[in-house]
Amino acid sequence: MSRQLDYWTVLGLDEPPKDRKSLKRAYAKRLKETRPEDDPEGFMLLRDAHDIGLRDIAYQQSLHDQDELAPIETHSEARIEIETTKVDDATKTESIVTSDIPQDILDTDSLKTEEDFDPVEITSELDDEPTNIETLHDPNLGAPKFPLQVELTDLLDHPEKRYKRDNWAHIFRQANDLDIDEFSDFENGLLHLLLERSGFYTNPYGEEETKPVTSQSIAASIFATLKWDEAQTANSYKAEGIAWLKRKLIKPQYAVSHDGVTVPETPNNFWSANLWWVVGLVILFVQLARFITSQS
Amino acid sequence: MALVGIDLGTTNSLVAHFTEDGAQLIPNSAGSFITPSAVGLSDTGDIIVGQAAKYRLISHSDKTTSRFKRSMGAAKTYKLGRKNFKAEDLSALILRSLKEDAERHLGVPVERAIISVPAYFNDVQRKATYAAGKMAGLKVERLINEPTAAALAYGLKTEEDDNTFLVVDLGGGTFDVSILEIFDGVMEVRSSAGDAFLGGEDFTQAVEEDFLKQLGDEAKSLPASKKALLRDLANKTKEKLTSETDVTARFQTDTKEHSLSMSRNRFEEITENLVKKLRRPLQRAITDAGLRTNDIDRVILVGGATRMPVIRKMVTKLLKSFPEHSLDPDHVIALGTAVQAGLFERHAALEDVVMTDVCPFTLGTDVTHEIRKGQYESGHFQPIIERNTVIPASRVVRNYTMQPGQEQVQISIFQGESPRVIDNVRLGSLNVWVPKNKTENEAFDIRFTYDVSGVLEVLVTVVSTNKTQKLILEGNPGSISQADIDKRFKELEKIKIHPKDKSENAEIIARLKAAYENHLGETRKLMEYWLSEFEQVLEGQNDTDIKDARDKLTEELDKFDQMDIF
Repeated sequence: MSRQLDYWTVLGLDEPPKDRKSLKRAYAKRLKETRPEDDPEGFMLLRDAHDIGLRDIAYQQSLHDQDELAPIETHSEARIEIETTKVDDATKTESIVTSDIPQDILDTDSLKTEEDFDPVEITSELDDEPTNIETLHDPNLGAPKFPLQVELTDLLDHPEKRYKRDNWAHIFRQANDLDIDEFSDFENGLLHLLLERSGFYTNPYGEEETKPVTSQSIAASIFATLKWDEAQTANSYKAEGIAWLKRKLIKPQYAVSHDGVTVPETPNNFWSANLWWVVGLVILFVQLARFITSQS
Repeated sequence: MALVGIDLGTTNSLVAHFTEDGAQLIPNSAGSFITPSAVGLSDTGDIIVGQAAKYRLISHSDKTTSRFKRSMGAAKTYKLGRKNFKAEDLSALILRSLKEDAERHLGVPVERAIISVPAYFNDVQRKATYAAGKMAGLKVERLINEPTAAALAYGLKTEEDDNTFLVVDLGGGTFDVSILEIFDGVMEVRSSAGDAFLGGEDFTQAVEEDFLKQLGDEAKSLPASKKALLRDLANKTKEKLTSETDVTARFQTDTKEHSLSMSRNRFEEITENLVKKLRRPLQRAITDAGLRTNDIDRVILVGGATRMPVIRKMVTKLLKSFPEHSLDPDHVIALGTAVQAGLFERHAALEDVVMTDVCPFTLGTDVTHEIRKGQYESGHFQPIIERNTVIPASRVVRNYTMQPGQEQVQISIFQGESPRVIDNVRLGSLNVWVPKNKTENEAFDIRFTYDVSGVLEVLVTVVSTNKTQKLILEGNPGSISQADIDKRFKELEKIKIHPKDKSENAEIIARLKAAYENHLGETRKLMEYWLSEFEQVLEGQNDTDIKDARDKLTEELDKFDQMDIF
């Protein structure tokens, strides 16, 4: 037996909220009656409704943006489903049916700028105006503008340059002088460029061989510097791109991880697994040595 | 039973409560809102806490300690005299001192508290903080993340609604960033990020290291008391550099007097790598919240270390806007914990305010993947609650045994962002028995529930039997059981906190001895004279005389302290 609720019903509304603001207002009102510390269960349901609502609104908006002329008529069937089939309370689950709403509308992830490289004087000044990148994944929009694009393109255009660690180090040092927004743009721009050059947009399943854009060890450093190895929020386009790029660029011996990539056993494992064997052998050997010396 | 809010800091601790007039700080027995997080043993074996202990770091370095917050939940111990203390024990003593201050000030027993912790404190550190509270005889009603507390203190002062603000909290030992949105009385934390190993103490450390270089060979043979003195000078120099561009500190070793200098430029050089560490948490907090810097209406600085111009400069550069600090950065968090106490007590003034927070890191388990047919690889991280999920939150995943006939599954719990569990923080593990099923893999559900205080509960349900097992996170190197807590509570209860007036006397003596150490000639003689004079007054046991002597000496010593730094 399961009961389905429209998310706006949970928010105390009779119909879907028309914008983010009205959703937030309805949520705020219900929240005061469903405080997280007093009613954790009720709060979690309310919060799910809020999140689904936000996604729904963003989705409706994106439909609207795609086709300015077409009026929005249908709301997606965004519902909260409460399963009450299980008798045991501990196993009660609340699952969410989000139908065709994309899980992720706006997502970028963490960056790391801790230097992986030796410090060198920064010589060049940045004169690139940072611009917001609309999308990473649509190559038809043409090359997006972002900080250090010229330098990066130049590097990638020249094999003799892009295999040199120093050149990459130089770019990352310059990136260290960017502000937060510029750095975001730089990171997304770099990802886009690497994906483009590795054939993500034209040859995603790898039927044709593409030349690697840089050496494995440099690729591994880029991943480490930008923390691309860290957990990316679920279903993000960016995470998908990063995972693809990793399979393409980094082979096992440099891998920090991921499905289908093997990492060599660490010595740690050897010792924990074989300690008793080693100890046993040592004892045996010592006893043997004693025996031999006593015989002679 | 009164409820108080406590900021248990790396360097300083404060206590506050919520009144009709809003959040109010509570002064300690010496009349100050700030109690240094330092603990020491007196000559009679009593405990000295706060300012007196801070001075005794120099004069009695073997019996005094500070900066232990980073070791909460860790196995590390601190030696005071012949006794060993863990960070939880020392924190419990600070908490007890604050509790007594509050009881004296409020005139009622104080048995409950809300304690702030760095947003980036992991589960082990949070549980250790709970334990410290219990050992101090306090019921910890909940923990609140420090930047969230700061935002509560500021948020209630905003007139206009619909505000997004970013809190930069650089305390003595930890760095936290949080982004909050306020609408219709709801304070919602959108994202948190941080660095558990970046704080004001690291900047002091950098100055100290530079001073040691300046001392050259003499640095190698410094006794503990001189090292403590040098640390103190480094800290004073750092503080002075916020208002001046060149600072010289006078340091007396056994052989000669040294002038140690530090300019603002030099300070920027030696702290460059520390300042760089600000970027990543800021970037993560902003991108996780799905924002650009111009979506942020206000940037707020919290924590004493944000007084440093290098920090302000970097924050301004990264965020392209000038940060504000209308409340005293040392007071903000404590005020916020008091607001949380008011919320908890449903204070009438806060009726229409609700606050929601997030879990700042990803929580999950280890899993084994089949990478090719018949080839398995263990050690993969399976996120269950993603970072920056609004809490309380409950999430469930279904996993399967690796092969038919398997009877037992070992599940380990991890916290972190790496896809490999080896790089994440291990929180504990549990063994689950599943029915022996020779034909199929058994399924089981793992449910993670993260509560408003940031404490994790793990339930595992075997699908076929519907039996549920609960994980109690124990067995970490630093974790303590309830029995241990009770035992430590009894042990600590026996230790007396040095009487207030005696503490103040000890403080004067410690300061006189420290000044004696750092001077030669006439000044040294003067200190010796004052010391014997003061000891005579103490023998007289006339409280008024003692207090007069104390006040006079405090005034004189303050003058001397200022002479150490130019």
